[in-house]
Amino acid sequence: MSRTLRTQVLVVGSGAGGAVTAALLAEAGLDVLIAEEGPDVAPDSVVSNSPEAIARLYRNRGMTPILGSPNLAFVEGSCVGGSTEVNSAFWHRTPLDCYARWTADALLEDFTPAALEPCFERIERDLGVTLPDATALPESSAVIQRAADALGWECAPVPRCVKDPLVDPFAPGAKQSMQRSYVPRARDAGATLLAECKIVELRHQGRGASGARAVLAGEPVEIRADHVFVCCGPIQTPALLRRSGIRKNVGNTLCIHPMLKAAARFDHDLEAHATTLPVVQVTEFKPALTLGGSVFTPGFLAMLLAENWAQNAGVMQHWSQTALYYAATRGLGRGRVRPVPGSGDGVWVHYRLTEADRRALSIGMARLGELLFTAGAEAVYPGIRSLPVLRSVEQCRGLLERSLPAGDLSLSTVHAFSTCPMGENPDLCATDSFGKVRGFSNLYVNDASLIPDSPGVNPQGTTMAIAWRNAEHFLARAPRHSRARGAARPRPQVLVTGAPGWLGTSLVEKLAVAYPEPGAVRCLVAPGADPAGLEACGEAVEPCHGDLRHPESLAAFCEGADGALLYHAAGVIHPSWRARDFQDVNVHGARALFEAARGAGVRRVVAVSSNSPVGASRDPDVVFDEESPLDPFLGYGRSKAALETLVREARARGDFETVVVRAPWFYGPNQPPRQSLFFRMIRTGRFPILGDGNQRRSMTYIDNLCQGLELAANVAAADGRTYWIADARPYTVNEIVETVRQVLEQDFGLPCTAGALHLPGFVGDLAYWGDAGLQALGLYQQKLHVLGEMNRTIACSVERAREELGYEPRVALREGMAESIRWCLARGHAL
Amino acid sequence: MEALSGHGQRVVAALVHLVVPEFPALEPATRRSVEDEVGHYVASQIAGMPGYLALPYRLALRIFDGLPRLFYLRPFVRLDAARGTRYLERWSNAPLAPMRDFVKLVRSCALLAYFDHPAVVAQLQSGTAVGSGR
Repeated sequence: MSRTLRTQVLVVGSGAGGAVTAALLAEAGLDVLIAEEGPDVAPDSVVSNSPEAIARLYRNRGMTPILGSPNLAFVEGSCVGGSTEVNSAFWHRTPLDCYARWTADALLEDFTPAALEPCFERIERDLGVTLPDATALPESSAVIQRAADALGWECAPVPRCVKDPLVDPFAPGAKQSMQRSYVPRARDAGATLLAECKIVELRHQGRGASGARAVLAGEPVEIRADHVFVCCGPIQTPALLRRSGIRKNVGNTLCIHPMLKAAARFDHDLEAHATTLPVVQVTEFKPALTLGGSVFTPGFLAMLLAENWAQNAGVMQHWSQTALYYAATRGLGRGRVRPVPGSGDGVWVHYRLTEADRRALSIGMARLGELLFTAGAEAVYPGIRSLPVLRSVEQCRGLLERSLPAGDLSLSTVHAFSTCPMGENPDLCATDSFGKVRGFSNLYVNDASLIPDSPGVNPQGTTMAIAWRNAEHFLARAPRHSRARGAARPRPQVLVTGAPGWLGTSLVEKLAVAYPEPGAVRCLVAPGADPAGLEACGEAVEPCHGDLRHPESLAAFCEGADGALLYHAAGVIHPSWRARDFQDVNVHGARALFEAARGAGVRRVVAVSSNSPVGASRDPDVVFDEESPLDPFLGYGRSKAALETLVREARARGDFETVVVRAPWFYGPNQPPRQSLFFRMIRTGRFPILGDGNQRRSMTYIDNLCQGLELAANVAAADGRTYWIADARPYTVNEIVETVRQVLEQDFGLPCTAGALHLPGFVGDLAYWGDAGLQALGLYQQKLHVLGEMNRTIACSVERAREELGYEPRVALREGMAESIRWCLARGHAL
Repeated sequence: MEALSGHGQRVVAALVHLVVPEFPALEPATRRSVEDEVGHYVASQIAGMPGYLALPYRLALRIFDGLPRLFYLRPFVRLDAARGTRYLERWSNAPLAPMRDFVKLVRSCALLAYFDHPAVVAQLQSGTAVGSGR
């Protein structure tokens, strides 16, 4: 049995996207839990770029290739702070050309320099983004600057996330990585950080994410959350989504900046190891190409020379006169990210280097060589197998005329993005313009995966600004129930399960008027349910995410409900295929709910039952009343009969007052699609009438049912009683079909095909036995089930409700059907 | 992360011994200690690879070690230095990219760990040691 944790917001990952998200949401008062797969390594406890750092801070100890032709070396951080702990702390704002391109291609909304400006300003202030002093450049950078000036190329120092511009970013305490900035901010604001917590799979159903399955310190853990932000970076985010079955436009459009490196040997000491990181960048050829200095250690130099070690090993003797440089291209190819089946958390990453990429890399090496020889280099050693050494500018310029063979290139990249592009383009984008995953109401991506395509610069700035923007967007629209941590939770006067469902939503619309105080009506929103309809009811309604199958969520649902009413309208009527759901939800779920309600001190429970515990009759004259014996109709009937038993037992124990309301076939606004099918079948003459059609059905318009429920809740003498709530009289099937046909034709001008699909009565019996057989096997088929009831009478008397509750059905069949059809047409349902 | 088998570690140690240069000069005891640490580092790096690569790589270690039996009647780990170096160079310059990549990975990791080892860095910075790259 795994431990369960609960939070309002689960943030998966603590890198540039996750840390910003967590900090902003926690500072807004939300209950935030950060799950970081990597360890929490104290800043400065390892030497940056050392083999030890690579082993401890990098994913797979830095041994993650991007497969392709050729393979690329790819590194990303896997620790608290993510890749910001291992990168060079360079800072770039989003290039201006990206705004227009992304808006046009991804159909991004509200993505302009003006919209991002406040995000950049704030983050740059927080991180102390500064420009290094151009007059005090380290020699390995100064040589580039001088050469660029001589060539007339644009070249400038690059801003970095360091508080002190004179300090090497890799000096202890200098770099403002996430572990030094937004992670502590999030924690100071109350966020919980779980390091070494691997999210294995997201839990979701329908439109809702409910949390995640995780492993924490080797132990399985279930994390329940109202909202989930996936911020594990451009590789792990799509891998996690796809592993969780979320695949639409996910992991198909990986972009990278392919990079070639070269070592340059000069005739004097550069002392590159002393400053580690050159700080200028040649931007003359942006955005297609950038040139600059790379991290230097003797080990990194040797690694580059390993490509042609037999020829170049001697260069190590001149290591202090040597520095490392790079040519990075924009990358025009696309790659894919896929979880490796059966490998647990293995991820397969593939990138196709295009001919244009090869050309760009050849030009890049040519330009880099030209720059370095102009700077005074004696020799340049590229990471190219067939090209161990370059000795002149002319030799470099020769590369402008040809593409380097892909198989000979020793490529690497530290910039990856675009695996879950954001925007409104349904053919391209995995999320909306603000990171909400398509098809979900509470699942978000907020990291470099969102960047629609290659920005041509280090993506950390863009990633953080987008994360900031999207977090603010979320907060501006956060449902009211995402209240500030510490703020007093409103005491509910009414609890409702089954909203937003058909009956539940209609009931809540009425309760919100009767109980207008903020948070007075608390609704249990099941996984996959979209609470938008409830939120439209105003401040009175507080949606509360939970699940009848998860008792811990029910305690939160019932919290503070001392003296409240509970309408229990949730239930499974037509499971997708598992008949077991009847018991799991209708019985075990109800038991757990009643336990939570008792603990919270709920005053009265109104349980919505059905005609099914009493069954159906072959005699069209039979009318059930509250004293009729139980004869449950298959699995659903048995589960509702068990529910009624649970209610009686709770009352007998003195847990709370109880009322059971048996509702037969109801109809009206907020109805599910199956009701539209009912109208469509009648319109097209295909509604099946079994036998002579004189079997009778009690029906009720949903407003009548809501009236009965409210009376059941409020009439003191109803305690312990059971009531049928339906229209004043039952109708024959023929009458129902004819009434609907008349309404369609006369009220709405919708022509109907005359007649219906008349079938012999035994078809219903065959369907019944088929349904029973399937359910015995644990399976369920909705249409078979409905057909199995069609030749029987389900009629009831509402006399007791009239006498004891004062119930009076105000809407009869014709009027109710007209309202129902009007509602469907207004929402574009095809009738 | 599943550690390399004893056999895998021996192959890696033998590879590291051939790959690591004599430059800069180190005291014999220091060199032995550095090479041991480099060997452990490379073995850990291989073990840290994603599963779908680590398995083929372990298989490649077996093949790399076993193939010399066909020519020299003994595995790679028992070849003398001259034969071992020739055999290694054959893999380094093989027409098949996976063979080259196999050696490149070990060589890259070993050189990184070696030249960034504190003892080697200290020796480099002292500027006293000049030897020849192997």
